[in-house]
Amino acid sequence: MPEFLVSLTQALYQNLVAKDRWLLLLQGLGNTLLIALGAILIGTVIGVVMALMRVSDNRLLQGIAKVYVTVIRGIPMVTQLMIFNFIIFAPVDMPKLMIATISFGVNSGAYCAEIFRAGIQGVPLGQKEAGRSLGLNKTQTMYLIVIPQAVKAVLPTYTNEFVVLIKETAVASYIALVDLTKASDMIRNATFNAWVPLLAAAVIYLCLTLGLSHLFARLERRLARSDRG
Amino acid sequence: MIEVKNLQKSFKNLQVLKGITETIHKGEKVVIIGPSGSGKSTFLRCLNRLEEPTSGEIWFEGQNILDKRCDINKLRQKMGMVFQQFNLFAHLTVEENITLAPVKLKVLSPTDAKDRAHQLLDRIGLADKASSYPSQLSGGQQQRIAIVRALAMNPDVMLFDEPTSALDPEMVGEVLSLMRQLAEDGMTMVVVTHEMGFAREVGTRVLFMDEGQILEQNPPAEFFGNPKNPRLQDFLSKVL
Amino acid sequence: MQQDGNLLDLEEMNMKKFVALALAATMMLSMAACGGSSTSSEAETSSAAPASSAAEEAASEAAEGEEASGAITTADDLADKRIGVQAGTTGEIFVQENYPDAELGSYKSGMDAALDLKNGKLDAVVLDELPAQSIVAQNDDLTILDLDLATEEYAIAVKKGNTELLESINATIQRMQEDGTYEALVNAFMPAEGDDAIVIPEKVATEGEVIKMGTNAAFKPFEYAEGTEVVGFDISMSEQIALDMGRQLQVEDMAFDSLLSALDTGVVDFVAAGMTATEERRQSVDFSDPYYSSKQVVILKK
Repeated sequence: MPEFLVSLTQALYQNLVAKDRWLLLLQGLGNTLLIALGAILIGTVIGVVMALMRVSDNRLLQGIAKVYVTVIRGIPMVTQLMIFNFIIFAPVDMPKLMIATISFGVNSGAYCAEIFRAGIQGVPLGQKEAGRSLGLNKTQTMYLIVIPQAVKAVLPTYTNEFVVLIKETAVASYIALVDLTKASDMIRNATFNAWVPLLAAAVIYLCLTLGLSHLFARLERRLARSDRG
Repeated sequence: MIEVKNLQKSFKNLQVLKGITETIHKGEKVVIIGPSGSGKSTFLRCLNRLEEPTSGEIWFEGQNILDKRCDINKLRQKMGMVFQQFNLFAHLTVEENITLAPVKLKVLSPTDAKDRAHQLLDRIGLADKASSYPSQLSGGQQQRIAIVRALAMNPDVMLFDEPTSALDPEMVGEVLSLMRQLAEDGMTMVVVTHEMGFAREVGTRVLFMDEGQILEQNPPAEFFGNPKNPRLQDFLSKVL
Repeated sequence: MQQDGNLLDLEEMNMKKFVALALAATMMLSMAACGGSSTSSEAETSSAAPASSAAEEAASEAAEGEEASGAITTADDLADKRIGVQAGTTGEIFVQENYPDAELGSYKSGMDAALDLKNGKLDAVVLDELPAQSIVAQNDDLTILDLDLATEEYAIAVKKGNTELLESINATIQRMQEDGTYEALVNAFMPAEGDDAIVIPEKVATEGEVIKMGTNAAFKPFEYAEGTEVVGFDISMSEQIALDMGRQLQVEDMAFDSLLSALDTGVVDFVAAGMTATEERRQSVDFSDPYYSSKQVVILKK
């Protein structure tokens, strides 16, 4: 066997197999997924509420939603994460994983709100007028006509937000959480090898994001198919 | 049936309707013509409050629809509207487009609504399109379904806002002929259009609007045969 | 057609998996939430029942404080506690190896760990003595418990096999110890009166070809940020090294747990970061002669 292959095998063994280090990566991956999934759930709920507030006729609700979106989107995720951990939830006894999930959820909520708002406002005015002219009230028109069309329109950006979120969670280690990035850091730390752990983490992230994008693309195609009957 | 008193409408500083007073009786087919920007569409859209009037009164079947206590949604069920851009619900099938409002507003049971939809589609010869989506249909088909969608609510009056303006010429005929059938059945109709032939043949009364006012109105024979207002004369000389 | 059907099946399977994952996540989250709230309610009930909520808060805070510092008096007491460390330090390795049952929190800096200790999210922080003293000096509610956990020696790391650089570093360390520069630096950065008495020596101008020093400026008094400058014992010592070599010193501030891989990939030439020369690290880098003896101590909430 050529020498570089030997040393590569050794490095792979040392960084991934020895001392069950791959388990650490798996555990990190689990946390990354938990945070991202929990956060997209929270973010979706917040996003829907904020988007509806934003398109409502109530000036106060509009204002609150506007401020929320502006403030959250104007602050880097890692800063928000530390604010949540070291200030907001400082007096609360809560698992780190929850704190991270909530912070990422609150952050994602602002982006979801904008995605949903754009979707709702992107539905042609004529659709709303047609609903109202038949005697449907504002709420019925919103739920029966505008939102179903908006959902289809925002699906690509919404699923993309989930993929973005997975990558964003890489800063979770700032509050001493072991996510995928931190797990690779810990291996790097133990073996002092930069290549294998970082590239392993990169490959896992890539598989995850590409796989999800692919899955979502199929879901969208399927919905589009139902559109054509 | 519809009584309009001194109706005014302004967009910011631009006054679009400058005090319109008009009565439309049951069974009438009122056709409104005029140059673009004359306020005729705005007038029509005020009748079911898609456009909020600035001042004046509109009475429909004994109720002032501009009154805050009046349930406009209830009244709109009795006023069908057809738009220039058809506005069929893009995410629903033809059948769902027709049954949505009657079912959700509890005017018809789901089964009755379905029966009625098929009966109406049969009438316009589009029964085979029941499960198609609007994007799969031609403009003329879409507009005829939009008319049928409004009819499914069993309205007392139908408002048409330039129903043929967005259509390719070869599709105008099928829509006009459906409207003609409707007129023959005795439906009260208010139609904003550029189709002079339709106004002449179907209209019981023709209104000429310009710059936010009704300048002249007459039965079609008199209206087209002997126009008095110089601006109407000018307008007719251009379109006929 | 057949193919199409298979594709759909696959899609459905993926969807099911996805939904199952989402469900699992939600369940785990809600379980975590329940766990969190039940612990806090236990804490409340264990404290006496005072009349006002403010008193209750104070009481439960006191109870928590007692729990933390009251429980840890010997090294064995750390075994099942929530312990914070700085990522990549010997403190982290020490806790990992000696207290496998402890709940380890690995932070970007010792100060972040101390913050969570103050917030009651940790029971103890294990850190090098001098930075621990700096932190405690700034936080009245923290105290140090010296359990003689592990003594260690700081040294400068170079890429394995770079003997030329290593020799000149060793020569400078020896020269500094002989001509009194070393003692002057110790007096300047580790005054007996505490951190407030630190007198930062003037920056020594170095010139020539750039030599890059990697460090992590969250380790007072060895390296820390003062205004916009990174200063500290290690920086001043590195200036002397660069001076002797006729090179221009460039300080690269990065995460502690990235330092050795930066060395390995050639991003920096040497690492001076209050780094302990452990056997494990010796396998991948070369260390200079030790220049400082330190030990791991425990920081507790008073």
